[in-house]
Amino acid sequence: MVAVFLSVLFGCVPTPEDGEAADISGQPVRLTLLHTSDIHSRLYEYDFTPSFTDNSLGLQDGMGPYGGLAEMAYILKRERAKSARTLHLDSGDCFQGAVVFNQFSGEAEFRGMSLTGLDAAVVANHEFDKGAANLAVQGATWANFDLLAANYDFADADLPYASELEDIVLPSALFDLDGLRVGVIGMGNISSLNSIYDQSNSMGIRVIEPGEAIPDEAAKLRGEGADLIVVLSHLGLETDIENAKLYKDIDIILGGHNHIALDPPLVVENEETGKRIPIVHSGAFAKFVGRLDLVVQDGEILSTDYQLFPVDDTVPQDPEVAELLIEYKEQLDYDLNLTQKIGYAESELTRYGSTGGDSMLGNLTAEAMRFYPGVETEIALTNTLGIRSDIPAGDITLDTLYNSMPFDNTVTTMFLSGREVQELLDYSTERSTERGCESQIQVAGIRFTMDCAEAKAKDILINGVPLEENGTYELATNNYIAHGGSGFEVLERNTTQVDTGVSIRDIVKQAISSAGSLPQPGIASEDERIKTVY
Amino acid sequence: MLLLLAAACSTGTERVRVEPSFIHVDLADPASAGTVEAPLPFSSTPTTVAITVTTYDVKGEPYPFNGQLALDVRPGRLTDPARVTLADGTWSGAVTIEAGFGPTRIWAKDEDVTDDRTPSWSAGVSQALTYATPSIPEMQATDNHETNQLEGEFAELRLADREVVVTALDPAGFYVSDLGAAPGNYAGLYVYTFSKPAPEVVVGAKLTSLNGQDSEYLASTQLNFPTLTVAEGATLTPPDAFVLDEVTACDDNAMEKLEGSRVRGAAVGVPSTFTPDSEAFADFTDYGQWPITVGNCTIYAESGSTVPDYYPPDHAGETLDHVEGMLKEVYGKWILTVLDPSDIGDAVAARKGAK
Repeated sequence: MVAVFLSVLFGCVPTPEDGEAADISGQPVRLTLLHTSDIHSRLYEYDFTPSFTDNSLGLQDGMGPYGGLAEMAYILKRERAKSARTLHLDSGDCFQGAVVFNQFSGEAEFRGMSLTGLDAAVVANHEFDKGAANLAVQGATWANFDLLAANYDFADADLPYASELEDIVLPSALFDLDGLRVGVIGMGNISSLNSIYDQSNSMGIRVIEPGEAIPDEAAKLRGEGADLIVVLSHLGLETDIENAKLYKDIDIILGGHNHIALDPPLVVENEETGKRIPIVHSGAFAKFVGRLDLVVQDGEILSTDYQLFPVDDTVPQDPEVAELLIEYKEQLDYDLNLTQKIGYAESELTRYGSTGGDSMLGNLTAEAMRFYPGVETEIALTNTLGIRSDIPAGDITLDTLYNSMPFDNTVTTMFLSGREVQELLDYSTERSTERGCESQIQVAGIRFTMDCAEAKAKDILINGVPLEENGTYELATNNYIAHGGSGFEVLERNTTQVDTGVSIRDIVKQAISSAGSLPQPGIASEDERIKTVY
Repeated sequence: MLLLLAAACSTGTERVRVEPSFIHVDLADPASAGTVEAPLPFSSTPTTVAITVTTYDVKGEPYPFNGQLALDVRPGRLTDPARVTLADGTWSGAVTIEAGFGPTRIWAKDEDVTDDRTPSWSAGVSQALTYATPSIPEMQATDNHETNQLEGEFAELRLADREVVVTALDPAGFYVSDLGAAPGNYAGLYVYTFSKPAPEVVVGAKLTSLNGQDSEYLASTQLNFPTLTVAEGATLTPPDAFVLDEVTACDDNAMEKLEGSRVRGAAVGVPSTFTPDSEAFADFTDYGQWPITVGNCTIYAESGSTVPDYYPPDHAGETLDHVEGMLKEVYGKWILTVLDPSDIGDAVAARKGAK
């Protein structure tokens, strides 16, 4: 609290050494906002095949390895040195996505982010992946930057870590940049934080609606002299656009959650004032660093300019961050032997299907779950987004597998009626329809047509036999969606659930090792078990 | 905790102030800057603007700066000059800009200098030049079919004095057409929404505003991450399909003018060489695309996900009554995206020499 209080008073970018604050009244002032988001524990550089969109944003094929926090730090420090008034703000989800998080619970992420010079980060959904208590410990111990969330109230005093979170997660911060005072309001994610909405609300978080949180914090910051109000968000682009339209106090939104990079940023007019509000998203997985330059005069943004810097093999490492990360890397190698080869990919193994249906990695995972000794169910189903990245061609190492399957999910089995299977596939098809007819599930033992025109699952076959409404089917799935994650209520309400405790990543590791080389006919290859029609 | 504070605030390097602290950019003729009510016309060709750049110190006093500053414009493109040299804190002259739209400001920045000094990194901008935003045809009209006027910009389009209608939907976006533009005159545009378009976006809906990131996806113009307004209760009739002739089908620039529009090929052939062992068949299995001929020119139809039961190799060598779809380009390959089974006509004749 002391740190925050003093930082509010003095800011983190002090007046230059001559001690005389600039009088910015009536003057055009340049402000630079360095922006990162959704780093997802990609602290170490990694290989993947950039998409067409990545290419168009400057991340070119053949320029890997990509990402890495030491590389990001190099860019961040270089750009900070090329600006007189700078803030580095992060839109959250720096946790979860690579083995360093599984092993060290966010310590390496917060220590590394602190060394980049980060000024503030919003607390996002994956920051809670090892529990609220873990966030409290990691934040208090290692975060030398402000953690913000104006829309979380850690109200349940019975929880032992509530007071710690109240202390370290602040609604907002005010930075004085040589006379320009910038207020930053954190807006954490709500839609993906299931534990807030399930009946137990196990983290004891009370959600404060944007319509309350943003105007209240903005008024407070304006009262303290803020010239500009930045909303540092992990609400997702759709909500960011909505908030820009609705809340006149906002000047800028720096957002995350969707893993997209907007170059150039969007501009949305506030419905009441007509003020033009830039909305910036700067990508994910340590692939990009964003820089937004603004010319501000008397609290009004006159003009903006945005650059997106790709993080590829041409970017040197910042030695300070690199040195820190070596410690963790050595420990990881010692504990897990991450470079051990577990198989070979003849071609890239993709997590999305080429036509929006079943995918190579989806089929591999679902089949491995279904046939694993002790699981052995008729059908299997897992969520596509549980697989986080493609596996590049070449040697498949344990490190690669962790990047692709970072979640510590286990297999849950349960019995479903035919009617429930239909409901499950209908729900998935409806959800997929809303996402460009890209299947949100991957399956084994099931074939069906995902009709996005009618948002309905059709022609369902279970192991070659048409689905029987009154039949009973044993399903293997992952414990995340079994608990209702991503809205799978039909699974959540099932009372026959058994969590086997078997790690899905371990199952897939074994399947890759057994196969040796992938893809093979029937293994890690698409076979139109999910056929898309729209 | 105090230790943490020290660490938190030590990450930014302590600076020695470098002048100039402030840069002013003034239009020589502010009365000609345009207004919201009477904007300057959107111009895809360079226009010249006279400005004066002056520098000030931290106290707001004129600062006699001698050195270079960089110039730029947002939005739009500055074509000349990239840098200017100030003497005793001032420079006056003309800059050339193009493709400005909406409130457009000229930047002067103390960065990227070639003279041997530490820059102050300060920047200033001009009073806004208010340009009209472009209509859909104005945005798209270029001599190069792989780009458009605002590629890479957050495009704000002028719809208020136009009639713009939604012409078709797909699972991740929709097509619009500017009814005021003659067929074949850059009237069509694809808007990529990533997920299913909002419920109010239906075929025939009239749009009153449309903004988004302007990009060339595989050489087809599209708006990404759009914000838009649908006129409540107002509907328009989408234009009829443009009937393709051989001359148009063979001309990239003519086809570019139809990109994003509904296009109909009448009496089109399916090449007799389109068989499962042909090279073109790979594009059918991968993307659902298959060749069709309009006279002596070959374009493509894409129907794999929209009419999955239609198997084009069965029709190799036939002449189809019509194939209709939304036209897109993939680097010089023109493709009709078929949306409905009725968009593929029956065979009207077997081709000469067909099996």
